[in-house]
Amino acid sequence: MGYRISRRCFQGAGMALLASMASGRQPLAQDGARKQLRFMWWGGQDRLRRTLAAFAAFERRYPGVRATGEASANGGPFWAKLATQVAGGNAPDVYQMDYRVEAEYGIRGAALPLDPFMPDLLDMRDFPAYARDAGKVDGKTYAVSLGTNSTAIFYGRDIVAAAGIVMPDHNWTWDDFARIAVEIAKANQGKLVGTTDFAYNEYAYQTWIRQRGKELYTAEGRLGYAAEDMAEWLDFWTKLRLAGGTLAPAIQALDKDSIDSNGMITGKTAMTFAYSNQFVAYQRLKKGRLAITTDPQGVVGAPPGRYLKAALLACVYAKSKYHEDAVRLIDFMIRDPEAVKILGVDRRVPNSAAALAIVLPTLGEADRMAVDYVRLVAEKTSSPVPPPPPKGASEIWLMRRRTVEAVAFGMESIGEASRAYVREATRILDEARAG
Amino acid sequence: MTGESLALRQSTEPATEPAQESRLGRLLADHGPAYLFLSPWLVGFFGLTLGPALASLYLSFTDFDLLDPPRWVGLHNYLRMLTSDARFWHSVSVTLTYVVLAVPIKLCFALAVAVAMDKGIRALSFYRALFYLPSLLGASVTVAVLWRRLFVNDGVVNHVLAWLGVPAISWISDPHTSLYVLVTLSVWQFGSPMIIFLAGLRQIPREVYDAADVDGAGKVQQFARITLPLLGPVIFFNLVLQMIDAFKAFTQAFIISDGTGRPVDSLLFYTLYMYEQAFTTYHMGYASALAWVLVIAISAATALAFWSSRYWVYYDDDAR
Repeated sequence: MGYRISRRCFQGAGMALLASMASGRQPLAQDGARKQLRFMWWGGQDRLRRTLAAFAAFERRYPGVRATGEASANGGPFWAKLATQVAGGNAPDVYQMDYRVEAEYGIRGAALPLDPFMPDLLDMRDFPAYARDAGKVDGKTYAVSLGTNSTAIFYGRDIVAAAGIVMPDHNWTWDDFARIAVEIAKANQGKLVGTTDFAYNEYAYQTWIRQRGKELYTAEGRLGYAAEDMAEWLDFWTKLRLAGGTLAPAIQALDKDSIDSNGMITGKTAMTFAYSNQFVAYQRLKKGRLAITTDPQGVVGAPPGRYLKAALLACVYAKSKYHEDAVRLIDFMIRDPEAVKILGVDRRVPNSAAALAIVLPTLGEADRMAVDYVRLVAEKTSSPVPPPPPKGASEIWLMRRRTVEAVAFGMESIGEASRAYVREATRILDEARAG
Repeated sequence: MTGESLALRQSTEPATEPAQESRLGRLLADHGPAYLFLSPWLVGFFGLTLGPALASLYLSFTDFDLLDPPRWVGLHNYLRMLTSDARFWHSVSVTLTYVVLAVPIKLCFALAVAVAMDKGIRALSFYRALFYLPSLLGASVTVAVLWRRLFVNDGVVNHVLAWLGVPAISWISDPHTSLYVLVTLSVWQFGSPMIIFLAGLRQIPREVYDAADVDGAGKVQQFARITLPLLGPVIFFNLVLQMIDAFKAFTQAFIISDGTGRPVDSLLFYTLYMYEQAFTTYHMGYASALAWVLVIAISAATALAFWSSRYWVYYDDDAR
């Protein structure tokens, strides 16, 4: 008998436990009335601080809306998270976007077409044309450029000077680049080489291939170059490696495509390829003063290749409950004087001329050098914006590093690797167009 | 516990319970509480394990890419894997190499340590805990990061090797050596098989060794003729467990290679390739097919181990 009673008690307790579990998640009463906006981006601590401060300003302006955010590591983790959330139907209302991936989201209906909101809620009228166009896929605006950057070379000013080298101006060529890299290595007797091996970087390759009058991808979403182009690129780097101008493959392989693992930051090279907006972050991590110059030019008369890039964009999730507020948040970030001042040039150089005028006086030296560089590119040495990368581009991006490393480690010949690369890239693009 | 109380109830109830109660009612009365308390697990099993597993079986026949609705493609994913995906076969070969190297070496190492500890070391429980520690940290991110630090070009390992006059290479970022670094990491985590071996060694009756001593058998002979055969079931158990674990190895490779299998796919473990297909290139349908092939492969390998055990595992009870 005693056994039965105790069991009933137990049962009752279990029920109570279940009931309490079921009712555990109650929304906070005060937030219930406010609209919740969620923004997801990738980036570091500084960006987190700035973004949250801008959100606080947004909430003061629009008290009925609560803006929250989550930062994620760049690269794989961010895209895995975003794709999973889109698949699950609960993606953030606003999310950061990359030019390379934009088409995949726009075409597939995860991003909201923004044209109906312009220019009342979203005003990009004082953007340069390239910045407005960067968010367009098939003529519709799916994303808003949060700022502009361009490709560049960073180098340690003191290291180059110590080697007795006078850096040429922004018209220097790939041959100059290779020669200087080797000279730096010789001057430092192997303790330091000239440059990181950025053969794996598709944006560097893009500059180079466009100087030859070709494109990474055609407007129809096909591969814009042939195996011979790839082979010549790999050949350039192989020769530079053999001459001692760049890193041994096993050292280069330690580069995780992040600033802190970059060969120049770890003290192994004098130069590296990077994006102009990263200049401040590089300078912060590096002792000795850095300088910024163009990625090298092609032969005389060749187009510059590099372009003004909207590397960071923002999209509104098509299934967001608050389309208008989400659009308003983006507009706030690109135009509101207070927000613009808080955000600075962390997400690249602001596109709006008015915003840039507000930001400029607040900048430190490194930031100003990066802004000046983007201006130099804009005024003197930029090519038109290339066609947007098609669906499948991110997979080809991954394959490049594999191919480049296989050649560097001597596991595949240049010819064989280039042909296999172009064949596989073509298959990926064909499949993407068919699907 | 539950089984015991239910048994107790079944033996005492029939006399007191009214006879007209329905079968279902009785079933509920008898087992209801058990299911109630099992319910969190049941919800987890059906909602988080079985449901998604079946969904992935369906998805493996589609071209699902996370963003568009899935489209049925029949056996296409499976055929592509087997006929035209060189990286699939490469990832199979990396994983098999890892399994074939890491599992035996780890087991031998664990057994050697267990035998040494069984010889009556003082403060045994302290050493046991100490040796088990790496396994506790095993799959953790920190250890993989630490391992990366140890084996890079200016890492600790190369400093030690430099004293011995071995030229420095960056073990972790050279495609010819990176997999072996991961094998070493796995062997270092020998703790859990060691504990099991140690328990197994304790089960072997002392008298058998005493008798062998009297008969003049040496230590090596005793190990080969007594310890190994009597330890058979434990070795088998460890082998199956470690093998399944090795097939599923992911965390270490993910951290050390940055989630890409770098350099040159030398760390492209099967699970990593699956992850890449699913979350980096969004071929979720294909990744689902990969997952099911892995399930089949692990089942087959385990079945093979069980089948072979008839020929080398000796069970004490002659019932088998």
